[in-house]
Amino acid sequence: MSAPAAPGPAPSTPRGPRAPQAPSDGFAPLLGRLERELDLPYPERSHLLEEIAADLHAAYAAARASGADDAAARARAIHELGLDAGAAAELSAVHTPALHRALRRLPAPAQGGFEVLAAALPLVVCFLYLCKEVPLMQFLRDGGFGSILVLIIGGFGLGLLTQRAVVWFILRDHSPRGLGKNTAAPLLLAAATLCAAVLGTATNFYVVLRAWSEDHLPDAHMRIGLRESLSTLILGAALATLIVLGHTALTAALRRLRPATA
Amino acid sequence: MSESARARSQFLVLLALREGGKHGYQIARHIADKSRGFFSISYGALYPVLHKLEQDGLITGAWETGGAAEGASAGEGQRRRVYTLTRAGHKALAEEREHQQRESAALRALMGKA
Repeated sequence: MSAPAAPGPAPSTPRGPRAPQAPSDGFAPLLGRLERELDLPYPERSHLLEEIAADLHAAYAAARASGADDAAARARAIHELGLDAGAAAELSAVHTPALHRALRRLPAPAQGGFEVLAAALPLVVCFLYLCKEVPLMQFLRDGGFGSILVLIIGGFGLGLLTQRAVVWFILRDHSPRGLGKNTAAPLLLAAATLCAAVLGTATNFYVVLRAWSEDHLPDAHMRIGLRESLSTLILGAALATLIVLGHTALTAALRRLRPATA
Repeated sequence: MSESARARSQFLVLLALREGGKHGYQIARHIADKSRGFFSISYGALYPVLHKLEQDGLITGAWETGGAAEGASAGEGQRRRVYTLTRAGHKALAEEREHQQRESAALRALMGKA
């Protein structure tokens, strides 16, 4: 006796369940609710949902084979699933990294503080390394106030990216709070960095050229002044490029984990 | 789930997989059917046990397309996760069986004297 066709979800991809395709997809609301409520990182959450979908399908088929009608078979399959809050919590304990579990026991401000610290630390180390290996401080001094402003805005953008990397790929926090960080803010900061760099450079050019045109600056010094002014633009372009590339890489990696909704 | 309930569930799952690969629903049915309903566990409640056993290396899960494992009941083309015992799982099962048999014998002896 062949099992009747079940109203289960559409076949899933290795990365996660596809969106329901058939109007008779009777388990889609349940699976959608579970996806929202389960506190598991991706891709484990997608794999579990696919596993549940297959088992719901099997339970439905068994119920239909025993003579139940469509609605009764569907209800029985859902009843037999029995994935209660306790089981969901145990699943979360199995799959959530130990560091994330430990952090969740802390108050929200302490969690946020850890994330900021974890994000800032690699940037500070990188900055100190560059200061040691290349004449970075001299380069910054050449650009003047504009370079400092560019460094602050760009550093904030890079900090946002490292915070996301920590939250998404080290802590693997794919809760609504964690995934809620997936905004376009780094791109806006990249644009702001570039704007600040252009404005800073233009201002420095203006100051140098004005001094030169009023004969307060010899030609040789004017050339040096123009060259030094360019450091702000170089710094801004470099930081903005890094932010855009980093943002693109992070969102692509997140999309690979969670293709349907990331 | 208490520690003893978890240990018992893990033992039941290992027993269910002794005869070959099964997916979650089949494991739940197998446990209920073979124990004539004495042990009943929803397949949803099995997932934490299965995933923990897999994490501990006692079982291994593999995606298969419907119809490969015993009691084909999934839809055509639907992937499902089929679990099988690993070598470490077989060893753990043998040790736990021995422990359970000793415990049962001791209980029977105690009850016989009561």
